[in-house]
Amino acid sequence: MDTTLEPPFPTEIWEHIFRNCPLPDLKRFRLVCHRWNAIVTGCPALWRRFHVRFWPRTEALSPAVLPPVKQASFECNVEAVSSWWPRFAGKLEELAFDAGDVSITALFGMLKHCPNLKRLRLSGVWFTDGEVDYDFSLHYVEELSICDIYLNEIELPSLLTSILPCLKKFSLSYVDHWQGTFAINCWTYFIHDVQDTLQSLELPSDFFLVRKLCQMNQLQLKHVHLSTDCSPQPWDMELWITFCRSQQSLQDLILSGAYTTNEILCVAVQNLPNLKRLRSGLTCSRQIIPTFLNSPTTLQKASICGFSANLQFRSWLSPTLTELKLMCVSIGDGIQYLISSPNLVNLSLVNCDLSGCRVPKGNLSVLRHLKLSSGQISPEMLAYMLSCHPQLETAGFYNMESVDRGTLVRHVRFGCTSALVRPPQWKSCSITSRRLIWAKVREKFDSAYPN
Amino acid sequence: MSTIKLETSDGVKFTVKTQVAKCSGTIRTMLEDIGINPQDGEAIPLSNVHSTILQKILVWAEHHVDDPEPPREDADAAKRTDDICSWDEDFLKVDQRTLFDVMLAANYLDMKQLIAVCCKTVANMIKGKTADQIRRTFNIENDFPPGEEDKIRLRNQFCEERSR
Repeated sequence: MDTTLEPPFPTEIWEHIFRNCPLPDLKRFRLVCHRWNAIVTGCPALWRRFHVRFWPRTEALSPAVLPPVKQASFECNVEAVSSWWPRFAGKLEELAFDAGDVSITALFGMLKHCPNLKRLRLSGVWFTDGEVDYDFSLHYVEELSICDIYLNEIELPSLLTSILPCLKKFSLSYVDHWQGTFAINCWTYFIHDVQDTLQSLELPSDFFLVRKLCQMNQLQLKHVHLSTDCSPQPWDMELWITFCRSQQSLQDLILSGAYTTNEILCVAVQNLPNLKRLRSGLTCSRQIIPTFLNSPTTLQKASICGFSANLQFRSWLSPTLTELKLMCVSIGDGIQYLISSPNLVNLSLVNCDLSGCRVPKGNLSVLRHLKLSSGQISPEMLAYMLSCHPQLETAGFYNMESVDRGTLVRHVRFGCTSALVRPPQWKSCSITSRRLIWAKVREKFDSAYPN
Repeated sequence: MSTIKLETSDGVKFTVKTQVAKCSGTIRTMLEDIGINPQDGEAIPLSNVHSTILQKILVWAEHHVDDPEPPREDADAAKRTDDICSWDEDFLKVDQRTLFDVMLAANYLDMKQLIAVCCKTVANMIKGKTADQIRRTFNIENDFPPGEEDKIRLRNQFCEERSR
């Protein structure tokens, strides 16, 4: 009997199958038959995954040979595409210029034909001057990111202001200081001019910009990412307080510069009335009490990288805090306050030293998800964490040297009714370690320890 | 334990635990939203499913009835296909016709997890193969006019995975 037959699938099943396959396969599927080509090019979930990149060698391209993508990026002379650009650019949602020389005449000439553009990225571009037609608006552009571009004394930022009336997200990284203050000034004015619509801002390590932000009274941000170093010079605590007090809508704060202190974070959590998520480094030379996590605030989720800081928790976490991730810190006996905090549901400890902690007494209160990765923990502490957990649903152990399978098997009560590792109230459990590779596959774990 | 009756396209009636039958989104909707009452003994007609296929699907549903909700994945990224559990792998070691019929029935019955695992299985059959090998695998006719394939190859050259 001939067992090969053409699968009688509707398009939706083919799309589902194709979504499991990487791009090189999708390209080959287009060559199978008309229908497969139409499915690959007709399914937005598939096409969203790739874009056209214009390399210098693609200057001979024409719209006839281009796929129906929504993203394009350039690393070649843009004039080479100008003759057919208007026909191609209408559907573009994302455009990036990644390197090379671009005249502002060409840039604006191209942008004019992208009415559906949502995101624009300019990085590594060297701009040259020219006549500009900026008598148009790109109403859908919500995101602009700028990285390491050379303005060459061209007032590109103010030209962009006039065509981007609805900008919500602006990311500026790496402004080269050999350009002098010209670039910094230009972008400061730019932020000033778009502050009415701006919600998300990412800034490079230049405190001058932060200083200027404090003077913009229309600026109501929801999301801020500062990579400014917070060393005492030039960081200005008064200014930081002013900034935090002015940002009543701010929900997400990321401080990725060096020398962030407990004091700076305390100012943030106490003066930002709507702060929900915080991601930051934390620098301290001796052991400290992380008061920014203890005092009652609106903070719900915090992710702190401590650079080997020694944190001494002396009281429970803020009652609003439900999710905490600590990286590279050592936690002494304060661990008992951490794991019994009133509303902490999700705790991750990555590369944390718990080896010196005394084993606390009593049950963990509301903790439901626990993840330990690449750190040290004593067998007694592990036993405590695994067995005194009235509500624990998921536990993950990754790369924990001291976690051996004997301890796990003794303390994790596996009910093996099916192919799931499922102690009475747990929904999932994944266990990996250099010594526990065998347990990676759940079924194998089950067959190794049936009941 | 409450049960309901299902009737397949060839007129065979199955008595199934309600909980197992509810693995099917279609049956769940019938019971919960449309308000078909399973107690009155009338069988729910599944006019697109043959009894041999339903039998197989019920075995799968019985085995997976207690599975937790799967985690949400990034809808756009290419998914993993090496995470099919060994029970499912054995379950789907069947001839192509049966596999395709199971997929069509799972699609009709709206059983997301079963569709997902079947699609991964078919994806593994076509991943890494050339267009010609795929055509031979599924007996698909190459219906491109001369020159068309070269055009698509040329277009493909300029497509890249989107960087995030």
